[in-house]
Amino acid sequence: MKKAQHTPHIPFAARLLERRDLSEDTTLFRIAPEEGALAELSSFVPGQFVQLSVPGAGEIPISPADLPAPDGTLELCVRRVGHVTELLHKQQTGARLGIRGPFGSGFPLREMAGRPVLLLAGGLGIAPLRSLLMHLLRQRSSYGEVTLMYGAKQPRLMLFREELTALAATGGLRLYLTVDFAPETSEGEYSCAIGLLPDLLKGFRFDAVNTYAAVCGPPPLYRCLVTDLERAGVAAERILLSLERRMRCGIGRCCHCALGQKLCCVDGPVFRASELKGIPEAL
Amino acid sequence: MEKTFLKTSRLNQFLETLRLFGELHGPTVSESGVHRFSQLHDPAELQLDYRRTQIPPKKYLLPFREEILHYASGSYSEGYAGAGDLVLFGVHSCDLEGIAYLDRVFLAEPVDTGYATRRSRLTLIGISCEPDDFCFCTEGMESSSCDLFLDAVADGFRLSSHSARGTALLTAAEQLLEEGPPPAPRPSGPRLLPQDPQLRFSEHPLWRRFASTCVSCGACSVCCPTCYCFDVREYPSLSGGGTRIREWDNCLFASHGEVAGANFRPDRLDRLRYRFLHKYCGFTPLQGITSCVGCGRCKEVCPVGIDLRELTAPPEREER
Amino acid sequence: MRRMKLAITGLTACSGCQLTLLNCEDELPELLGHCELVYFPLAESGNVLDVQFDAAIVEGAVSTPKDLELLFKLRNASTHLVAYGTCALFGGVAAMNNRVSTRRELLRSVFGAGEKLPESFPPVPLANFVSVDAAVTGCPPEKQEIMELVVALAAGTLPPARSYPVCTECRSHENLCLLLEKRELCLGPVVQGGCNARCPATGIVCEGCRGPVREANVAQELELLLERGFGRDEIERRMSRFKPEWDYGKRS
Repeated sequence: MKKAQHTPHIPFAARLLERRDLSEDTTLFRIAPEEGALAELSSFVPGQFVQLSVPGAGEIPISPADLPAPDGTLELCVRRVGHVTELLHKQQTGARLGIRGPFGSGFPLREMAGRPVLLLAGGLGIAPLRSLLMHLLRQRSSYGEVTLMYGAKQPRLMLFREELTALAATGGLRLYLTVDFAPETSEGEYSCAIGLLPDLLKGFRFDAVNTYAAVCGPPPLYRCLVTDLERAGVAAERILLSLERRMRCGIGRCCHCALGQKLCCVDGPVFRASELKGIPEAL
Repeated sequence: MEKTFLKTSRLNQFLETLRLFGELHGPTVSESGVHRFSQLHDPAELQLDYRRTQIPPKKYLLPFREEILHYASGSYSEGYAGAGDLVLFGVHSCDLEGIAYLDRVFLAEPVDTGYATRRSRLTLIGISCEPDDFCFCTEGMESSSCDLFLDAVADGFRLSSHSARGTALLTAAEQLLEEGPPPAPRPSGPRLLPQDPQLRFSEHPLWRRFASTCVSCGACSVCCPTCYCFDVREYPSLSGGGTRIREWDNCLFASHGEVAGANFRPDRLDRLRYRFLHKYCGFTPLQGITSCVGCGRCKEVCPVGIDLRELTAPPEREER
Repeated sequence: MRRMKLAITGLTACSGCQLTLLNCEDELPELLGHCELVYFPLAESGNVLDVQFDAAIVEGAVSTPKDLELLFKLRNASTHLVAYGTCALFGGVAAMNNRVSTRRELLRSVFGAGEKLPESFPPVPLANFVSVDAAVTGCPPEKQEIMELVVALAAGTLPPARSYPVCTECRSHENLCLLLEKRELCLGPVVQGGCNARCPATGIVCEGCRGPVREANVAQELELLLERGFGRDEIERRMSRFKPEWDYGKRS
């Protein structure tokens, strides 16, 4: 018998367990959703999103930074940009939040099995890709070579740097870090390139025919990376883009997240570049 | 023969019978002369020869502003207040088709609680109409998306039932009805064909003209029977609780396609394209379905006379 | 819970906005449980200026050196500065003649020739001098909107943004369209809604007391009104009643 579905617009309760500042405006929040939410979250696929409620301020779509931990907790990486995230950043551990989801479609993991995966993250785009990365590394033997290219504006805005370097040290991950700009004071502080992500990609030799590329970053990044990846020989069907839109309802009704005739909250937020051809407003 | 004919002289008694099924609403006219659906306290208020109401019946199913969640003592709970039985009398076929479209959006899984409850308590009674210059429906179509339909003829109405509730209405009104020939079957279904999505990028000069003259007042979508975009906002209360509301939104407003730090539909032209695409081509999962029902409201309420359908016609040669 | 420290005051204005707040009788007792009115001269409730405020709610335009001094003081002493009402946001009624007459002419006509004229300059919005964190528009603002703001501040947040023209609410309430049906000088399409279309609902045109809406197509509104036979002067006069500067060429 089909289990009675939870009313989809009512968030489950969740508690803020732990917060770790990653940069001056970005924090990793570990939350503990109540039991009802856990059942739904157990189906989470990297790339999907949840709707996080901050009582009194509202709701925001967030793509979790990792799969739910075995203890049911969830990591959300959030930048302070609007009034909802502002209030979230003021919350102390123990605070009550709300959560709905997961919603949308994630990365096509089954299809990616056995193939090399190239992750391209710009800025906060590392957050949704981190859940994919963690999945790939946990199931390391099921995938081909895993490469992460991550670009941030400045060294101090680079998120998860130490953690990523540690993961790379285990040998399971090829890691390339780059910053747009490095202030003089940080000279020698970081070992990373200076330049834009597309520059990194240009010098990269890889098995383009078999590789799946996963891209997430600020809006201008997609257009140029998609072109470069295609030029390098990656088929548009295997270029996976995690897009950002202002999903209000998360279930295909409010229509704020439409791109062409698709809805980001239902058909996305992960799209194949091939699906977005002819939709200029998508990227 | 079945008893399906209602003489005009018995209409008032028929309306009284309808009250047994819920609060009776129908087309009336306001003090300032605006046609609208409102409660029928007195049958004399009924304006059966109306062309179109300013706001379509969607207001009964999706209120302009609605509380959807309450937050108190640590958790969110259903904010929607419940609904009573309502009988909406005298709805034209276009508006019935409009409701049928909204049903496809809000009754699809996962069902929208508020909409579904209100819809289940709504009895719809359609009526035939005479199109005017603003209408662009296919004449003679009759919507079956109702419980009962009244086809107006010279001295009365031919009634046809389209649901179990419609049949119950006929039974309840049996002593008022007479035998008569059943209404001639009329074609039903979608009125306008979907358009090619690529038309939104056409070189048609009207795109630019519309983009420069549209005042973004929002009237076209407010008054559209199938526009349902909504915004969601939350307001805290002093007690530490809060209320989340949803409110009609509008694709012609600049905020509609915004995210933090970017706008995916920054210009009015982009927003008009979006409107065209949603209205005439449909979004997932209603892709390929036009939601325009031909009621003519958008054309009538537009302060600058924009008619999106003109975009699908070949551009007129400029007079020299 | 710590009570939020508030300053509520007015610059060059009629105090109507502050009175609107005082008229929220139903909400005030509970509100006072969450706020401390440290500085609210109009209500004679606190006159202390040299503390750190959580928020300063400021009515009125800036038009005297004293206005400016108080504004700077409040900006420096407050976490949030709220522009409260149309004057604070757009200059308002006091600024309607900014483009028509010089300040000196206006002062003369009020105080008489030969009298010593007070020091003043053309009234301008707060944002011309300081950064503004939140705004409540209206002349006067809607009770509900000011309560939303104060309650949100008390909860550590700001009310969510909303932006639509008067027409949106007006049409949704099924009022008669005064611009289309009666061909009157209604500013509904270019003016910020949120007032439930109070005036058009009673058959009075929108005079624009809430200032421009974000996507106002000013050029087209002007054209529409000219088509209806109104003179350019009359239109500009009406439009500048609550905001002196409009970009009449703006289409997007």
